[in-house]
Amino acid sequence: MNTVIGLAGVCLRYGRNIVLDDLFLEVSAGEVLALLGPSGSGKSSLLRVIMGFLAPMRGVVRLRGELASDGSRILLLPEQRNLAVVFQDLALWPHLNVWDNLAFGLRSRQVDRGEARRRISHMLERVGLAGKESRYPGQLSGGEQQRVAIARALVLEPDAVLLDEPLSNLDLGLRHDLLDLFVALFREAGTTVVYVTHDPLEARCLGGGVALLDEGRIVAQGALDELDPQHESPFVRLVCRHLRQP
Amino acid sequence: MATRVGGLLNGRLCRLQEPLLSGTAALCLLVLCTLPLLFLAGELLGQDGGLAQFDATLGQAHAWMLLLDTVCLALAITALALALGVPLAVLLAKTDLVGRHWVMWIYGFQFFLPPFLVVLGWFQLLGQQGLLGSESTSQVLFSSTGVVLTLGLLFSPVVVALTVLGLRGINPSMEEAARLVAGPGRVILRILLPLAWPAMVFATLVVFTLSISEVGVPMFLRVKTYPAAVFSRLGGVGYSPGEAFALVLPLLLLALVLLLLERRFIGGASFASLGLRSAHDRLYHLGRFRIPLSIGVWTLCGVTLLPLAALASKAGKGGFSALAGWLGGSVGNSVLVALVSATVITALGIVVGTGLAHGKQGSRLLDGAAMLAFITPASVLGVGLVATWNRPVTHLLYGTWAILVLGLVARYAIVGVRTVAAVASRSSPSYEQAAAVLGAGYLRRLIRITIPMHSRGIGVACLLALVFCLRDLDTVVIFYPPGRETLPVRIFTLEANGPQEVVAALATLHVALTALLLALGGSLLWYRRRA
Repeated sequence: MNTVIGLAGVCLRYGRNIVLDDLFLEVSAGEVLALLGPSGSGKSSLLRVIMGFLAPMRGVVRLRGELASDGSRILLLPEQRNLAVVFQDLALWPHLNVWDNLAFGLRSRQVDRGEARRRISHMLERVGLAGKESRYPGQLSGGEQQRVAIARALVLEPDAVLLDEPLSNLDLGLRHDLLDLFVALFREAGTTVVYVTHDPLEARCLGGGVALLDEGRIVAQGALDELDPQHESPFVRLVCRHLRQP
Repeated sequence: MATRVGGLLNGRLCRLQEPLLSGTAALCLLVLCTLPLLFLAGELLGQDGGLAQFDATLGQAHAWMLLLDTVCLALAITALALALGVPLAVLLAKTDLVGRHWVMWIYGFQFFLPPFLVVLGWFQLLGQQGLLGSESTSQVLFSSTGVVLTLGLLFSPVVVALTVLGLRGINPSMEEAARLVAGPGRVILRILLPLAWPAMVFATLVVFTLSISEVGVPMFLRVKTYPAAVFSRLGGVGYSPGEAFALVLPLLLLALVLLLLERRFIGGASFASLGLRSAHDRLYHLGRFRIPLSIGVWTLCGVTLLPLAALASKAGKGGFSALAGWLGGSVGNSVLVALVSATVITALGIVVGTGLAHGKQGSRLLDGAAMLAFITPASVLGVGLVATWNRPVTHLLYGTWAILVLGLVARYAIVGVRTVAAVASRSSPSYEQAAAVLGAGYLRRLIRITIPMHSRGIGVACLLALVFCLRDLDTVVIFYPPGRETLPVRIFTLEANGPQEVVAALATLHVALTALLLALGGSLLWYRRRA
């Protein structure tokens, strides 16, 4: 299968604190992978390593087979990796309106103006924000801001979209609505997705595979229902228990 | 019974702590910052032959032309400071420039000195008899161009410092989201600088205010400015207080316009966007441009040190040996007044600044009052202070160094308020709320929670206030009591007819004193950070 993101033997430390410890991970083209882990397990650091904002001490990062980081050497700069991200705080640029938030990346990647206009219009239509192009992030509701954030990531048609607990600040109802929208968008675009969350139910809703990260290592990977309830990792056992609850 | 009464009293006192302390701080700030302007307005309206005086002074076209010239001069100085400051701030905040932390200190040092003193150094360097001087360099120096070049360079560290803080205060994920799709240049131009604009607009306002307030430099360089015209009517052969009162009216209106602009375009954003973020900065590699750019920036730093070296060189020719006879009590006055003023400013800053950061009622009004006093040209505030405090009933204050403290606190209270607000707005109010729920009164929360949590920021506020007070000439020169002149005033008054070597030695002493204070303060803050 065609691997889009590949990490091998990645180690990362902050001072004496080991954040990622000899980590191996592969994400195939079109796969929607939920990365589950408790707080402080290194989920966000892992995303930053993939994006090229953090250089690991050891190990390699490959994107579409191309060497992106080799040990502490960053060979592909973040903007050369053809990735997109949705952060927990969304990071919508407050001085740019909805249209310009989406157009920024397209113009940076020198997408033809007409094509950019077509893509933005389609994406805004798809996320239900048509007619709100000229609004600024501060003029939108929380749910609408989430829609802008996902639209901004997908409009680039990147090799992979990374999402860092994007729905954690929302109420349950809105979270479900948006998750349904996200899943539909991912399927429609056939995008490779790494979705960081600490909620196993959210991971289940995504309908793809999961990778469980604990103390800097991937302790289990595969389908959520196939996780071993007797696994040696307490975190895997906890997730299994959580999923069995009615 | 006694225990119960004690408990009740304690509870009532606890409840009164916040209104008492906040009320006192608010009253101090309002009295110090707005009373001079209100009294000034009263004097303007109530003086003998009021309207006739206005007619005689402001009815002349040359007064308005002078005001226009001064505004243009201040705009040119501001433009130069921005042109130098913004690119330098980007280099220092976001790139791997060689020795960028040292550049910040060395380049910024010139701003902590009285501008007049630095220009004295440029005169020793580029004046007709200067170390590198000739007739042509002297002509450039003693002209509007000279004022723009010297003050533009001198005030550019304000732009650098505020823009660096603005850039560092940006949410890192906003930058990362942009970095994932665009190169460094586009990220800086389209995302980072627009996000840091409140800091840059605030810097623009501060530089414009300082430029239009400046009296010492234009007077020394023989360039006529409006505030200098006000000053000249308060002493010497041109003594005419009535005219001075009339002349300050347009400046007062200008200050109100500036305040409105500040409220409209910046307001709370100026402190909300500034921070003392110490998280790991994301640096852009300059690559092959690193060495040439570093050489350029370090050369610019060297240029800022040249006038100080020229002063020291001049002072070395017999100035230091004669220093003791000319000092008087100026060093003691300077240090005492600056220390007391900085303490009061910091105390006000803690109470009002934390309230401002957490949106407490009335704090915006107090911030506005302090901002108005700061952006009011120093000569206007000085005249207002004279109008307020120069009366028999307040002579105990007006005739002593206390008036200097009152004047400096009025002018620089905003430094304490905004610095503490910038720091406090970075933390959640829930820290204090949690302490309040656990039964801690306002004073206890202030002493045990707020001050320790923000001790570094408060230290920065105190150090900034101290240096601002130490460098002030334009405010205190208008009303300093006899025998209570500060070191900058001493240098300014001696410059006209004192021996040049001694003047240079006094200036060098001021430089050394400022460097010592900054080194001590900086070390304490660094130690605190390490701890």
